[in-house]
Amino acid sequence: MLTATKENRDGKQFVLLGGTIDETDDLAKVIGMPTGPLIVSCRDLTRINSVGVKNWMKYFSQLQQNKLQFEFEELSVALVEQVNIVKNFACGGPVLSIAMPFRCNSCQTGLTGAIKTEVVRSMNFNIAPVQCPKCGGSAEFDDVAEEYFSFLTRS
Amino acid sequence: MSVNKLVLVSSGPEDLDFALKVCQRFRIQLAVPKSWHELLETLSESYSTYIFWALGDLELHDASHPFFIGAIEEALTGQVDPSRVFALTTKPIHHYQDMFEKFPTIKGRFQHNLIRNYPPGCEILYARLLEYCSAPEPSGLQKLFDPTTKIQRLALKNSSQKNSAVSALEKTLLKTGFDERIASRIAQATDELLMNAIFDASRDSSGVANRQMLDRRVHFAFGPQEPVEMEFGLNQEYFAICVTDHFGSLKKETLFKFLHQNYQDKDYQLRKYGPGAGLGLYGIVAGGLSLLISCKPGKRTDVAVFFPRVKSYREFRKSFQFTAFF
Repeated sequence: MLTATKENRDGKQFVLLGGTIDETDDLAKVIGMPTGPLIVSCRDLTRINSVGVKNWMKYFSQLQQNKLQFEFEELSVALVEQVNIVKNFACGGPVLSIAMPFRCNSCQTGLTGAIKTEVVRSMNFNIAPVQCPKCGGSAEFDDVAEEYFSFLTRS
Repeated sequence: MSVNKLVLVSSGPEDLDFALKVCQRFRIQLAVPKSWHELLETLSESYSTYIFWALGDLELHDASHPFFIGAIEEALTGQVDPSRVFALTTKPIHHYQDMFEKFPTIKGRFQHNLIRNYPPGCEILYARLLEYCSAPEPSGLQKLFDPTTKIQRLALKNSSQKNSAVSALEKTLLKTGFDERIASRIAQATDELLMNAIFDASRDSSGVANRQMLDRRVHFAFGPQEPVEMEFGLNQEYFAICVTDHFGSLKKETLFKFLHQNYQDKDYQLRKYGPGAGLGLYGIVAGGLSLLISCKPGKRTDVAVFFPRVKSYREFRKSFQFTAFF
């Protein structure tokens, strides 16, 4: 089930999405129709099925048609996967930052951080290991960079 | 008397190493023809030959190459059982649209596709896949596991049970020790398979699709002869889930149309009305999962998804992947 927490951030409408998106979710009802620029944080979205993808694209392509500005922050791994396999999933909205999955080589703990897409580009998609906050071991990027960042390399 | 054998059409050393392991496991002979003439001769020996044919390499587009891609039609027509022909490719089949446009006659020639990731142990699953090919009426998961592996079964009687079945599966996988992201991916794939079985597979008594146009939120009971069944199997190497409907309405052409789409390079067009465009099945394969489909027209369709048992998502992305249609 999709959840939305809304607030005003520097004059822009901000919405934090969480949960799952499937056939039962109507984004227009949950988010509402924005009256100005919209920032969508997708950090807590864990899953989206194919009907959810259609509902998502129906909503954001409507915003696009109405020439409303929207941008995405902290695209969760579930949505990064979608934006990689469906070219127009973001409906023209810029993706400012994405979730970054890591896994500790020592204790196997999975970690998720966020990174700005412009930083990923400047690093030429080479992601250095980070320190595991649980055991201090080395945690490596837990995906294949060429695939995980493929949407950022599309022309 | 002809002996069952696997013919490898590839010059790649990794393919050869992999094919050898599969043959050892399945206890069949391996033939690696070096010329077109040798290939045709080997294929003419038995209709039941299994074939692994490396596709997608640019060098195969050169007509002077011994295994020129444009001549596949000639080699495969009438000589071999089409359900035993596997394309070996570096990426999933939807990445090869240029090749299929250039050589359209080969498009329907490969019912199965193995991605050329050969992690240790994958030959166990692939040998079972070859065994599955030779089964008289392949269906269900048991043949794809060791006979001692317990296959669990569950039948849904109402469309309203879909979401709770998916959530319960995800929780069980997490308890079993699956990575959170992989468990979520399995749950998502199961959701797609169930939706297809509930809404897209259903036919009325005259064979007409009767639930495709329904709103996916609608709840209804399945007829007594139409339960949607789920099977789960787990061993040390992989996990599989299979969803079965009792209509057997999935056509090879429809499936290939879905799997050959490439929404990574071209825009997905939203439809206002009508059935889906196979986004669920496309997403399963494009997302790196393995798909096995077995359809007995008018009787049943089994759609199974396979996942390697790995600790990290990176390992999963580098693990085995295949699509197969029977």
